[in-house]
Amino acid sequence: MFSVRGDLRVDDNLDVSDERRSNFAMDSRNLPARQPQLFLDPRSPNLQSILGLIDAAKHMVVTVYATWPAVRDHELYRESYKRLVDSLPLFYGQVDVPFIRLEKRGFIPSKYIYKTAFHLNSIGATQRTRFCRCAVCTDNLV
Amino acid sequence: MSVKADAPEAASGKRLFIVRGSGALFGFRARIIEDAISIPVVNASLHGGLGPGYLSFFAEQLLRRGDVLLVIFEYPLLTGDTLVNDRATFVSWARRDGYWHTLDLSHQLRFFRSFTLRRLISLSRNPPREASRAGGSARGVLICSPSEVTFASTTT
Repeated sequence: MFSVRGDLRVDDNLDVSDERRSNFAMDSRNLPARQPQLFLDPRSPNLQSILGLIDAAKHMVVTVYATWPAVRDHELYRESYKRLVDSLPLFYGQVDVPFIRLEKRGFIPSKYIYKTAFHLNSIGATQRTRFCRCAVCTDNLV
Repeated sequence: MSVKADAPEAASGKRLFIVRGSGALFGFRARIIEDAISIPVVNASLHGGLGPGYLSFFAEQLLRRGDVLLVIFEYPLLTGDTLVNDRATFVSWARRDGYWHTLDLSHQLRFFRSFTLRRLISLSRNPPREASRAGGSARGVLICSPSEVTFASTTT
């Protein structure tokens, strides 16, 4: 277990420890916020840098997989990210990156969320990883 | 960040890296995957505020031939242009990792334009604190510069 300043710790796999987030409860400060409508633009520098990573990985004979990021399951987020959620498997498919399809397409119930719309609490992290593990094992991805 | 950069070196053979912003840092358990597939799995996720450019650059440094990479970038990282931002520039500067070499000319100019004279003097005098400040608090602690990462306890 490595201590990385303050009470935040990471284990041998560099996963964050549970000490801090296990006691966290959602409250009024965690109200979902409206996000701008986002869509994939192949010319955007951000997307180009990700494509660069995939190219470099393939050049090194590194097998690349992708999946949806975890997002709090809320109407506002579903609406904001709808186009990205739909287009992500197509995008990775175009560059021959196998896509791991998770239940609910990465949207996570609020009870598993820790602080922001993208962070999970300890139970949520375990459950989401188990879904991924099932996909990895079932499809023999690795 | 030093932990993130150095730990994977210890594992030999095929390894699986999970690359993302803090969403995977706080949302994934590499150990569960490792137990299932019996190869070393490393949660190489950092702070999403570093931008996909720096996260990709960092991940590329870790990879070896034959590894496996799971990319899970958050939605805001998939759009726009955040290759050069305060966090990435100051962390890169503190680590002296040459990130700016990988950028095109216009982004290189933006990279160096973000350093005011005052900031440069401050960085040269005290790089760790400056990088840490750029990274923020709680969620940013893993992007502090190498000298700030301490191995306070080793239980395994």
